[in-house]
Amino acid sequence: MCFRGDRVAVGMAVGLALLPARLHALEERFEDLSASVEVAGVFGVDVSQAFLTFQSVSPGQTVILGEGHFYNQVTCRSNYGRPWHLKAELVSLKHTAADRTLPPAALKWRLVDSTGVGQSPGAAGAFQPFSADPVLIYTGAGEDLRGRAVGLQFQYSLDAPPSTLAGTYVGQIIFTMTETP
Amino acid sequence: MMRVRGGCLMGLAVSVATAGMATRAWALTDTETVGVSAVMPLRAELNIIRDANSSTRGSPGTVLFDRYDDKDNQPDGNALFMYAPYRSEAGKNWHLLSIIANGSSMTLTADVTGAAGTTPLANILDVFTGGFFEPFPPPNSKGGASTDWELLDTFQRQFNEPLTATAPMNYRLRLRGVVGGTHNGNITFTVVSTL
Repeated sequence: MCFRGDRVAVGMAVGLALLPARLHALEERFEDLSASVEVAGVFGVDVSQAFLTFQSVSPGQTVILGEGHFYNQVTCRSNYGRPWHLKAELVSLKHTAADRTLPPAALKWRLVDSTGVGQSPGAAGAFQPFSADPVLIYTGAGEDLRGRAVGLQFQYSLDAPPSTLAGTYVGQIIFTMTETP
Repeated sequence: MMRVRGGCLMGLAVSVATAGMATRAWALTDTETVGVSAVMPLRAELNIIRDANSSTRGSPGTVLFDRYDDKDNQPDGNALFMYAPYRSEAGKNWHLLSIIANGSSMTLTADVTGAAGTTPLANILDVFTGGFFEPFPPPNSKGGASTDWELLDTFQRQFNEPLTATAPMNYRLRLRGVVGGTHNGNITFTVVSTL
């Protein structure tokens, strides 16, 4: 009885000794698997407030949207690692009833704040005129190129020339985020 | 077996990425459009002001006739007229009409009331304007100048465009048949701006 008891005790000890060895073998099997991951490209621009409304502008008067704070935010995001540019153009500010347009430079933008590390042309904090052609607003750099959202906060001003025909003017600003300089 | 499959997948992924890069290299662009609207209310405003070329006598809101022209301009003056400003105040205007009218057309008219004795002022009060000038640089004449003295009561100017301008004004009183004394009346200028 004493001999048999000894054999049982030996068998249990062997079994316990083998168990850690099996677990280790399973881990090695996972290391044999291959995996492929493609990080999706992100490149886009969004505007928080897509309509600028100047309620009442008298001839010779300047009206500012977002005064004291900001009016809207343009958010740009790219993870392609290459420099990108935000441009804007004013399609027109056309009278709804007459064949009249306000000059594009009557509408101006000002970059109030930015979460990016890139640069905006012109004097810091100064209003810059829109144009019928795309004008450079901001150039992304450094961390801006690595996928984080860059928030650009804007104010807008409208200078109504003294001889502006009364009525309602409508137009469009097109913001374009592009890698093309 | 698993290694082979993985290899196929990776190879496919690389070829897709390469194809994408070929088209994206200089063409990564996204756009967002923002609408703009601006409302310009209709305005018709008229003010009477003076500038450096105005007479310094009296006040801009009152046209004052107090000197016979023959007393002012000896020996070439005419006793049948009084002028505001005096003709001796060469190059001066009495005052300016400052007009802001941003309709597609604007009409300026004048109405004269009162009498000098039995003679209605509307029949004897003349005006001469040097024209309408946009005051902002560069100075720009919009026309409308008088070519001769005009009866103020029938004075009228019309412009078929928005107008922000000043117009220098001079006045003349015809004295034929008018008795001496102090006479008073009113001139009412009216600006109508129409869309």
